Amino acid sequence: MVTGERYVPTIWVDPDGCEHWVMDDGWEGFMSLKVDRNGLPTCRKSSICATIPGHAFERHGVWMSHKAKQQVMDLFAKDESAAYKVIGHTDISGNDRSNVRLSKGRANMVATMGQKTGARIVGVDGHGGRHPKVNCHSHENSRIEVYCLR
Amino acid sequence: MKTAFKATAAIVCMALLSACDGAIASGGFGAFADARTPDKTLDRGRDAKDLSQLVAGIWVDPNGCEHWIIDDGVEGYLSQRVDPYGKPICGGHGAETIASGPFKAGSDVPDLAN
Repeated sequence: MVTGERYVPTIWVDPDGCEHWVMDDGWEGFMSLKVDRNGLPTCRKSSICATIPGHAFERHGVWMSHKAKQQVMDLFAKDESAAYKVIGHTDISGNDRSNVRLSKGRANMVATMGQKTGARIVGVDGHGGRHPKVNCHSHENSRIEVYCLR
Repeated sequence: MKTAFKATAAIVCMALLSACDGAIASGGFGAFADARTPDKTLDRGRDAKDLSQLVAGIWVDPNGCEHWIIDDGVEGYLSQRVDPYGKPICGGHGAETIASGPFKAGSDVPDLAN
């Protein structure tokens, strides 16, 4: 015999736009991050507030022109978020380890520019080509995302 | 103090429930008792509202990682804050174990602590 009680959750969307399961059975409340079967959160909107294209950097490297650096600093200077996370991506071609290293190096470069403007950086990640924006060999996939936190 | 109140409340609640759950249990295999199970997607307390309306603050755990915290009167909710790729948001900087923001704003039910 199986006895159970049905707990049907609703969805609460956090200020970043990501979904959580939430239930209330009268006295207690329950909540858990909603993820897909790959463990990725399900988000309705993206709090990624700026994307710097891969071609702003030297080919296969982390350096930026003086002009590009200035543009990145202007981005941070104009925004008023409490903190930022910088997330680097490469295209999907090539070796995973070197892609991760390159994306992290570029993200670090962007984070350094942000810090120069007084921005608070709470994390720098490099995902290589593991999270492509479009699922093909496109230059669009090579990008640095700035995640704005309230 | 709040915990003690909740424990008492839970016991009262269980006592109330046990009066009517016999029929559900006797339903046997597959008896999830839809009609008898109240909707969990609503706060049915005296400050009743839909749960999607909850107002959150931030709690920083001892490792420096952020969680959404909601104190909705009697109920409390806590869930991890992550970036779009599922990695935790960890600012830290001395704010460990501190909750901030309007996390008590969603309800006028007071905490019994202090």
